[in-house]
Amino acid sequence: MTHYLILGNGAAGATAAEEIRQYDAHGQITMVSAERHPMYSRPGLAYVIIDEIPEHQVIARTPEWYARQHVQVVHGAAAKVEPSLHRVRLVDGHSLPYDRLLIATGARAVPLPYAGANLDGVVYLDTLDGTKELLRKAKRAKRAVVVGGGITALEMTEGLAHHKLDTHYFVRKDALWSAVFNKTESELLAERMTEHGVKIHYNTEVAEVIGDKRGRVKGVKLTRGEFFPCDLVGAGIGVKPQLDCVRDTSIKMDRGILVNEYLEASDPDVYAAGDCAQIWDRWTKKHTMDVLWPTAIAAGHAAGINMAGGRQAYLKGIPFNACLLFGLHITAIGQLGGTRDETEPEIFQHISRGSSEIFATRPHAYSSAWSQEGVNTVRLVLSGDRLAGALVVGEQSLADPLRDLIEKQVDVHPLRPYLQEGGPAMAHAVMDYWKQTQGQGAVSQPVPEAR
Amino acid sequence: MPREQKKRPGFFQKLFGTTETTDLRTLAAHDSVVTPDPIRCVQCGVCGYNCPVGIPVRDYACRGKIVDHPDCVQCGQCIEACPRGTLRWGKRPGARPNGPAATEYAEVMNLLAETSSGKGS
Repeated sequence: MTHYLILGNGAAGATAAEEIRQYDAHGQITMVSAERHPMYSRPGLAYVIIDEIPEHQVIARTPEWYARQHVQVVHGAAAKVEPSLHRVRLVDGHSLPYDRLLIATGARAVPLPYAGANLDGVVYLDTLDGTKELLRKAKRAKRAVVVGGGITALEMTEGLAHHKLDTHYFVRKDALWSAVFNKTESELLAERMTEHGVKIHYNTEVAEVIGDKRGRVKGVKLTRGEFFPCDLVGAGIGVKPQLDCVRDTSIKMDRGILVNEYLEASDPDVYAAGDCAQIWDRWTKKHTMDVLWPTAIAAGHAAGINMAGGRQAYLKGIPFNACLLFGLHITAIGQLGGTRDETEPEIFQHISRGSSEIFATRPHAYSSAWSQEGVNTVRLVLSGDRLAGALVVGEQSLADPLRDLIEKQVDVHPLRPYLQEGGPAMAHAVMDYWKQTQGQGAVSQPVPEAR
Repeated sequence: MPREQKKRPGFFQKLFGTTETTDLRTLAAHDSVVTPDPIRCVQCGVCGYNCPVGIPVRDYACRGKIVDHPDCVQCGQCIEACPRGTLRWGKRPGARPNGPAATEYAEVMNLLAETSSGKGS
């Protein structure tokens, strides 16, 4: 009987467990979970803080599911993987043996890198418990400061404003979500945020969180010296893969655990998937990191199959994220290359949840095309006659067609004149062209049924 | 505490460019079934939370399975509520084109939708 050990109980871990069970009815599956909840949806936490759903609704697997799959869950954390001994030492001193190991420990929010980061009132939107704490503290807080440049910080801003806090969003740059957005997209979102009562402070950076005698946040000190009073600080400066258990082992890693297309790490019988894995990408010929839910699911799926004795490559698709910020729908696909400054210090370069390293890149030679009608925009990033990326804000009818054209690398040279011209005519031409090329097999056919 | 009715348009409406509240009755038909695009699904559970008959829609959506639960009343609330545009109306596999029986069925569904859209207000 094979003993499968899975470190982590998130999207990748739970998916792999389910997959292993499909192929191996008798193998022993053990999951090590640092959190006491069953697997839950991390992206769903954003909908909890805007009261779309109650907290417990994000839990995506019932305890019965674990029982039905004959998965044993051990609460704890891995201290060190010992590949040569085929076992994992836990923090509590116990050791767990394995025949096949999946490291799916995920990523966690990066703590604020300045003094006062541990004060009562510094909150994160990262775990279910953290979200509960955020909501509890938001109830008695009046003024909040949110720091961070990615989706998580923006989601937190929306949640705090929703709870009627005087919400201030501090950005180090002069634009929002600079890894992805261009100037206009940033302005569109900024307008929405202002409508929701958020005050945006550009070019503003926190140097220190200041606490009172009881250790509670009473404000932040800015790098330009001034004191800004507040009683809550939302931190969303990015996430870091949880790699402590593989540090100083023979398992090779860079920013994450390096795995091939079969999710195999450098040591035999060791696999990695999800936010902690840096997976070989045949398109860019590099190991890249994604902190995306669908990527974790797809990688967990392939890892499960391979661990159970199958052989399935995980071919990275085009990174894709659909999000809802302040009522504005945003779909990001492929290479977008925002206005990010590559030279900034490493501490500020953490990838944010809901992002991919690919998003912030651009093809070597590229051109872009643009259409805007009020709040609805479409931006295309082109590499020659192929689409490399697209960002759709507001009206979303082009989101699926663009994903399809990008994924299939459809030659769009017939669109050239429209792309140069831009505007609504371009958007229509793209839609028409997609319909024509659909014969090549569409991703989905979102056709509403007529009566 | 009673939950407020959704104020902003759902992803589905944005996806198809309808700016007014979508008239779900025009969408559900005899051979329609709630169909997920699993790559958009983040298993947040907003769909199941909005299901009036308590179908665990997420369990279908995340596995890319059509929601062929016998209790589904085709009200489309899960489609409306999904923040990521995961759910759409799709054709039920093996469905015949709309015949007279289908039209009759659609009429019944319209009445049902009418009744269910009155709830919560």
